[in-house]
Amino acid sequence: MYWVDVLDQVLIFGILAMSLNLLLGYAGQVSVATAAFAAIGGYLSGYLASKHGFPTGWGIVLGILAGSLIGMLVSLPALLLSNEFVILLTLSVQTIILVIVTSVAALGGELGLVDLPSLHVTKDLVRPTDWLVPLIVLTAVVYGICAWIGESPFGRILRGIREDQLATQSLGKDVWLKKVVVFGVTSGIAALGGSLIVFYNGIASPGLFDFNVSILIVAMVVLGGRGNLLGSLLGAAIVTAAGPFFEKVIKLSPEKASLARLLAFGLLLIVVLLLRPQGLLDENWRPMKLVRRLRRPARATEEPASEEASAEEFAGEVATLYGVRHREEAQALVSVKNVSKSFGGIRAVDGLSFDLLEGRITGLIGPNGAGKTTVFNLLTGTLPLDAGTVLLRGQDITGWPIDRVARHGMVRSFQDVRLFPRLSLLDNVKMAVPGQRGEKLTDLLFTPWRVFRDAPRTERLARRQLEFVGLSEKAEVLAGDLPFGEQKLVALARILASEAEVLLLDEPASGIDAAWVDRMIDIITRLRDHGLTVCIVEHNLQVVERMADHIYFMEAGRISADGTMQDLVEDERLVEVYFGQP
Amino acid sequence: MTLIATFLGIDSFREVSQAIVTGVINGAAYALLGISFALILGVTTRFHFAAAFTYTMCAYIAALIVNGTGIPLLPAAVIGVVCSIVIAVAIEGTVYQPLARGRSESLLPVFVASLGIVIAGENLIRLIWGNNTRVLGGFPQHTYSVGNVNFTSLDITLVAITVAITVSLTLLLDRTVLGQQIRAVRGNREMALAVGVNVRRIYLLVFAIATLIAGVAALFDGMKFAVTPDMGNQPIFYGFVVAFVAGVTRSPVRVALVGVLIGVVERLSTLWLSESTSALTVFGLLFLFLTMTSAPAGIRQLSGALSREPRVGAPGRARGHA
Amino acid sequence: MASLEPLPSQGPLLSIESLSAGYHRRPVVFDVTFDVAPGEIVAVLGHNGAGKTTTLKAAFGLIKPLRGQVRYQGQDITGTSCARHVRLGMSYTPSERFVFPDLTVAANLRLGALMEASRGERNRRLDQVHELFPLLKERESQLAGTFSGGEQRILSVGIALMSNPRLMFFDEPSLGVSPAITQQILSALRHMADEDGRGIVLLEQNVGYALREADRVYVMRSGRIILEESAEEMRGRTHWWDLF
Repeated sequence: MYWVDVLDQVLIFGILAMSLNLLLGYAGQVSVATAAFAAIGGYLSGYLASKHGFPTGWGIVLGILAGSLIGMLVSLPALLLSNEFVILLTLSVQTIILVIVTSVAALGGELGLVDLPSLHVTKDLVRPTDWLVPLIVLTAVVYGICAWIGESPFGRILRGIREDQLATQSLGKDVWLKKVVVFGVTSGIAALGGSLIVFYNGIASPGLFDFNVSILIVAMVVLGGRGNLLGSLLGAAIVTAAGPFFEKVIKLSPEKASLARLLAFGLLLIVVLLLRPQGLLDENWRPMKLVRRLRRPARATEEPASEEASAEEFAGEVATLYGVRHREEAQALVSVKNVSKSFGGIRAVDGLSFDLLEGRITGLIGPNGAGKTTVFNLLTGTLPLDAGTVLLRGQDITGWPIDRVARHGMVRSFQDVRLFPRLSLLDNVKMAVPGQRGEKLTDLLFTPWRVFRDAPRTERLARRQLEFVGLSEKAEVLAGDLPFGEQKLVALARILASEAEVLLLDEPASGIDAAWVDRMIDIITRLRDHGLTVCIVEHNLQVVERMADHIYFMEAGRISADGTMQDLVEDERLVEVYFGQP
Repeated sequence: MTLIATFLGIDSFREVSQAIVTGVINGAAYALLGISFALILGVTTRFHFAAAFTYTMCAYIAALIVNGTGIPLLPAAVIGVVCSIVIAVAIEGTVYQPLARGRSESLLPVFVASLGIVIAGENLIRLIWGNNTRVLGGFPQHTYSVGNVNFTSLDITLVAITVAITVSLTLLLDRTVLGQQIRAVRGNREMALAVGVNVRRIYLLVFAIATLIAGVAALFDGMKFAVTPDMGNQPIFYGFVVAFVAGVTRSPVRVALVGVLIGVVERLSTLWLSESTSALTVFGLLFLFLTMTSAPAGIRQLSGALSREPRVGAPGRARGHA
Repeated sequence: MASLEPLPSQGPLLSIESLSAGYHRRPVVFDVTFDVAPGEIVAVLGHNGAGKTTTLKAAFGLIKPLRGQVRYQGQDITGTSCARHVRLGMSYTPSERFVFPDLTVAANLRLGALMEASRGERNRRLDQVHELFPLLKERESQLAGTFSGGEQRILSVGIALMSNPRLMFFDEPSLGVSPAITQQILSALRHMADEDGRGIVLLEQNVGYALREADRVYVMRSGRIILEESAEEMRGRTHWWDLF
């Protein structure tokens, strides 16, 4: 009986921890308000049941809705805040809600609502044994939902937000709505957990939902493993089961056991953070991997060896996918007119105009500080411009945010690569694939079969890109573990997977070995032959000479010359500007 | 005057002036906490939540010594402060520094580790010394009345010490070489390394100074109210609020003034709200403050997301050029 | 200029051998070897991402080298702390954020001489920095953050000089600065090398600028040194396009 009670509590806290894991572990938003959202659910359903005779089941549903709604409202200010401020914001939410439930007379004040009716699910749930089966089922359902969300394209975007929000947006993914949605889901499930706590204990009191409880749940998630839902259950189990351990095994009194378990938990948390910062269960670890390894110990690899696609074959494939064709008469696919941007008093870009011709590789060179990367930032919406217009395929995209520009067909890479370090190479590339089913919560909830059917397509496309840059054997390796040169290649694969027709490459050749430079040049020139439009910013002039059909020379925020490499090299004034006055 | 008062639902002018005075006194404590956090957060960027533990330990140890031995208040207080400093420096050296080493994104591990310390610490205290509320006595208590406003000798001392600490810290930062080094690390850590500042040692020193200041606040808290195992949580919240609102790289004077202001605002709110909901004012205002600074841009981003056009190209279909 | 004691031994001031360095245990700089003699201005050229700054940071102790050795006056100092490097007589001026913005100019300079205990010596150095750059005396109580970019650069050279270093590292001192000021700085560097025998390592993308006063150059690309020659030879090349 005693152990059933312990198990019940493990399951309830497991539900709370799993909900927070979506927000904290997957999306990287640090919230210390979980207990407050639980309080919303618990108090609402408890109040309705005890004071108004509301059926307990429906009360719980209302609690979930209320929790979700308030969670989404709270997320609005959090959208643009850095994590220190999100902590502060959720701290204030936690305090405010607790103060409200403690001081509103109708909610019972300090003592809370007592004598609540039992939760009724086919029968009244009174004893811990009554609760066991329903809780197991419920935990499994919540796990299922959270895992479905977490492992879906939506969940992948959450992790992208956590790792590098800007890079995620640059691939065409909207992040703002996602944050609001995940706050809503987390707080809704937390509200469910709160209702369970309240009906399980038979009372709704402030002490059940105070700040200490919130941080305990944060600790469970971090200890168990951020991004690993089973880890959250494990974390909940460790915290909850530690009490009985101290009581039965070390023979402390129940009060002391309760204190001792928290003491041990706090210390364990610190030790785990120091020794194994990702938590006990790594986010990419799944029990299936263990099973797979046990089943087939002798096999060296799992997939059949794939042939490296010839560059030509691949380029052809990709081109068909993108729908680009080579045109003899090149038109301006991207048109930049009179664009300006100032930082403080400095004009970084000053009335700049140029065109990117369709199916051509255009180079942008110039001395350091000339403003080349700023131009990319302005074109793609990474930075807002002060004046001028940018046209993409005739459409005025001036002022569009970066994800919208990407969806419209123009994507940029970053000088400092910006891969998602704790995601595998495959996940990095998958992030870029457009039109995935399962990026919206509505897809996941209402048409799950479509999401299921679409997943292999994304996988196939992503693997193909990795194959082409020669990194398919490392598909499961975490991007953060790769050397810089290989990261650049993955970044190229990622940007190609976005199916954008215009690629802006920011120093694609810097930092990689000569052999890989050759391969990269090969890939891109063939894609150009099939109609892709590329602009590169590069300092390595040999690379520019080999690749570019047309080159613009930029100095002090303006374009001062253009032509082939030969033309520019012969201009003495340009030499002086580029290399400095001797 | 009385018309305005009745309109606002206030009994008398006396009530308001009492609230302001009490607010200033509370605000003095908030000022100390704010200064303490601003220093740590500004210089080391650590989200040092574990200060709740060192805060409690300071008052606790002082109380244990005063109640358990014959040692008078002042030496006991000093011992309490010294112990809390030792604990804080140990935390920075053995937990935070190893966690932050070589990691660019260290906010979460350090924050969660400090949560772990708070959880472990509070329960350790309860385990060893029980849940009892203790009293930190021994301070000569007199009550004064100036024109119907009451305050105690303890209160005046707190305010005086707060002023003294604020001034001393300002002088330390502006006039001494050590202070310049601290400000150097705060302003440009790499450059500080480049001129040979021992940044790790500065971090430890900053923790020591900040814990000293918070410890003083803890002692007065214990003397005025009570010493309990969880007395540190609420004050630490206030400390963070004051530090963030004032700005962590600002002068101690500014942080202190913000602390006093928050104390006064909170106290004034009790004229309308009950005592227990006064915290609501502070956190409600904080919430509004954070919302107002980020919501307009956030909503703009969101509306952009909601009104976005449909994706160009459905799955698998090649895009041609129109 | 502040006097430097005569060197105990002959040989290079700084000698770096087969250095590999990077971040998070991943190298971005491979097998770099170079040296600097007293009174020499050595320019390390190369574009963004070539590895110049990483090499400098590894030499100065801001990051730990993964492989190779750094010797100062014959003494092995590989992997020792920045503070030790400063005490031995080295200075480092980064390419960005090279002053303490919320301190006054005077406070900035004083911090440069942090390691010097004697007040008299500090004042002497201060006087000499003022002589070289009168601007720093005129505006000594102004907050460094309110200086223009070029003025901050001048201040950064002043800060470096305050430690009376034998070996000075400068990361892109010409970046974002007007030609007049860059020339002023360059002349000061030449003066420091000639008159006081200081060794100066100059990291630059602006080849022409560096070549004006450098004695020797190294060219880096993709984390390696691809060329080493005298400045004379470098200046004599018809074009530099294929080096970059």
